[in-house]
Amino acid sequence: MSTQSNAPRFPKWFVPGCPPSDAVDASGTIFRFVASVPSVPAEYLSYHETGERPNAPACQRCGLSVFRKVEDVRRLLRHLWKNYPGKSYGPHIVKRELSPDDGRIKATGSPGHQTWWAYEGVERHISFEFVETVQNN
Amino acid sequence: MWVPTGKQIEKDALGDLTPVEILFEFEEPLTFVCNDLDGQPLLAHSLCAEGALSRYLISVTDQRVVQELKAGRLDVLGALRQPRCWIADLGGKWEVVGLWLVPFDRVPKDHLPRPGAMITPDLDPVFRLRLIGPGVGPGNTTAADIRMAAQAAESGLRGLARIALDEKKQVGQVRRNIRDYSDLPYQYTRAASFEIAFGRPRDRLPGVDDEVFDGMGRLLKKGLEALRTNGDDLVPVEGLNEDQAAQLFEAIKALTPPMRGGVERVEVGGGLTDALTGSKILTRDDRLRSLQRVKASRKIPVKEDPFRVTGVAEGADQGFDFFTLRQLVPSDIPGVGPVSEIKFFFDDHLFDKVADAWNSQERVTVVGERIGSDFKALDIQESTHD
Repeated sequence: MSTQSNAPRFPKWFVPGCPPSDAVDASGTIFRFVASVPSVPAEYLSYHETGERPNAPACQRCGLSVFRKVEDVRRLLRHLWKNYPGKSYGPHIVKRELSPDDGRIKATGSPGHQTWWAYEGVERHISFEFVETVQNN
Repeated sequence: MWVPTGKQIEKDALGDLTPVEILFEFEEPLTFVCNDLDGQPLLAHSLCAEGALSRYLISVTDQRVVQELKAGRLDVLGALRQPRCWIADLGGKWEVVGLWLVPFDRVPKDHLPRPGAMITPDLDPVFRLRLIGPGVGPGNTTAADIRMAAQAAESGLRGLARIALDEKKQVGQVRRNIRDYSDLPYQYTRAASFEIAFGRPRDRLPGVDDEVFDGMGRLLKKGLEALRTNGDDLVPVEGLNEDQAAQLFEAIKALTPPMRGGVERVEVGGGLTDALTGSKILTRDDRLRSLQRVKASRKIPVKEDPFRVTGVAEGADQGFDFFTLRQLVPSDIPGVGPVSEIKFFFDDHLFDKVADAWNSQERVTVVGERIGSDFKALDIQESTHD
């Protein structure tokens, strides 16, 4: 991780009031699904940065979707594949450890889903390790 | 993105497609209810996205359909399939960028939800069984076939649950018993090719249930892989002893089609089978192979002559494949000697009789036999002793 000053701060492009005040210091293991391994930085950009999902909640668009349990990721992936086969999700699961220097985190949306808001300068794709590839059958 | 096959119409023909009730979301609303210009409900379902544009299928709906969806009694595909529907391209702030009136059968099938997929992951059937064969379908499927399907699911799941719970008990107390994972609540049936689906236990323990069902799914995968490995050697099942392996192959056998009749194949599905990588269709060949494996795994202990004993089946052992008979008459069992209680194992065909005995707590006469150090109930009859 690299920071530009001693006091970590969020990027200026975050929408006002984001992350919410009840988001807590990032810590512990997080899981996420991605299309490619090894990690490609573009897959770790927020929707605010890529301009996608314009109808998602504005603050969540500034962060990344992550999960605490690998079972939740598997289950969600299979559900998304069954219901939304025309969209691209996964199939690889990756994980990394977070520390308070990495940003803040909060449970958002559906059960098991969390949003991680990274501090400015945090290289989000770094340190993610491959866990498994979920079979779409 | 693909060009919709249909009639392009005015963008504002349906009005504002802002969600009024979100039924499922991941990062954005993916399936939701919105209203048309007259305030009548429409069901919107995400098909694909490109850049800032999201394409949704829009169908006419009503409150009954939405309630059925939310209760897990109707799949998403069934809710969307309406004679008239629309494709809508939506931009930011739910602005309609393009709108087409399309017949449902012109929507690309590879963009539609799969049959049986429910609106949320917790409503997806945990186990599904579909009968396939010339004797299956409306006007052909018989009551015996339906009973066989339900019994196959219950027996197969019971075998898998027994091993999965045994494994969990090795590492600590489990607050669940086998029936919680085998006698699952009915979710839906389909007539076209008879299919029956079962949901999660009504009284849910989310963390524990997920682990047990995952364990059962892994066992089914292991068992089928071992069963289908070619070659003369019977491949052992990794991590299972001989008795557990026999139980596993018994469970798989229960799911296979009978050797005669109009049901030739059985397809399994649902969350429990998500980890399966091979075919989900069980054949008569799978039945023969599982029988072979059961015979190879079971050591045949010496059986003794049957005996009769009267007593009360205690309810404490509900959910297992055994019961404990207490208040015995006579208490001196021929060939066994004086005992205060006997733990009897029993086969599937006695399940209803055992359940009646548990529930009524009336005295019953058990015809049993001793096999090695175990006792097996051969029949349960009304007691002739008061």
